[in-house]
Amino acid sequence: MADVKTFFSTEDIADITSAIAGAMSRTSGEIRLRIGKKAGKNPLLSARTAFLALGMRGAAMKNGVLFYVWVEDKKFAVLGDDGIDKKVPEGFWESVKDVVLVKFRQKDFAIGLAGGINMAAEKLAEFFPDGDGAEKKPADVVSYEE
Amino acid sequence: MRNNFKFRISNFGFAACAVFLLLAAVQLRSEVVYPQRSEGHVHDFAGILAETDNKTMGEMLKSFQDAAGVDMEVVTVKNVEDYGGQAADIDSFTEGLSKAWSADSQAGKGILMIVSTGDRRIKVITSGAFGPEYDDILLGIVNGKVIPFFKQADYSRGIYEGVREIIKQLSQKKTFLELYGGYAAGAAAVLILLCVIILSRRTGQAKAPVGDADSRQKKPVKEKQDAVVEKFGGGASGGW
Repeated sequence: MADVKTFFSTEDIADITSAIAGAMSRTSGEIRLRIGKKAGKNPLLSARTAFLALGMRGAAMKNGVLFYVWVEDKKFAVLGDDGIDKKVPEGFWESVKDVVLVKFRQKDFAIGLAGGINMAAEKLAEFFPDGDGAEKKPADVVSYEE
Repeated sequence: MRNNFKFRISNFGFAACAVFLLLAAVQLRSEVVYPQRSEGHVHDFAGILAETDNKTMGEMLKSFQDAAGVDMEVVTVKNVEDYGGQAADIDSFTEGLSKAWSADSQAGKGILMIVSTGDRRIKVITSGAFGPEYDDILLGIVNGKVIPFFKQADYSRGIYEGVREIIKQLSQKKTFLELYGGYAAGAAAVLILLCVIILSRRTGQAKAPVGDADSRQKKPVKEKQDAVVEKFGGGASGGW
């Protein structure tokens, strides 16, 4: 059974953290990754709950993006707050999901996430370039369900 | 008389050269000069794609090739006539480009989508590795996902939506079982659901008035539980 803490290798987490940090240096938006066990019946609802719990909803420009991976039931969700969601074209989140899951199916988890993170980062940098808002960068960009 | 003959010869030579040059020009014009294949899977010769759409499609198509082994190329041109050829049309242009480009690509599963804005035409062809049933799928995607945006002159969005849908449907469609297994599973699920409904109704009728009152009260409670987290933002989810 996949374990939350060991599903991604230390190197993978380092790569993902680096990708997120690089992405966030270009935008006032924030990107986080959360790793859990089971998504439940409604992964997006679970992601919204975590989004609130992590305090990401507090961003003034509503430009946070949460990537959520559930390792036991092999589910993935990406959730963008209202600010970024209104800016991106229809179907954008679906395409992010597609890019991530294509790699996940090949067991390239870190590469898949990096691809999705880069896509989100492009949009955040385009619509919320660094300097147009004083958002606080989170200390823990990768977090785990207890 | 002699001078006149010379004049006639040189005059004839000039006319012959002119005819030769004219024929050469016609010959050159009749040969289509296909554009050079550039890096990646998206070749926007018409310059109609938004930068982000172009980049996103490139990444999606690269992942698609890695995962499913399908080499899909997207090409936009302003007019197929710009590349020469007598009575050039998008059908012959697409076939010709497919042959010209496949020379330096690996044989296998290939899809070529060509959009000519000046001709107001889109053409999607597949390699022989795809069966004829894919023609209907691709036609449905073009009509349902691409054309509505083309009618609004939003070529970039139309191509993006079409590419995304092709990847989505072809990633799912692999075997007969995968194609029809979903329907079978759906039919089985409907049958099971019907059985459950019939059984639960019978059980409810046996319990008479108390059961009815309870069931009416339980539904709003469930809805209230789901509504604890307000809906905000947008996203997508799936499994692997």
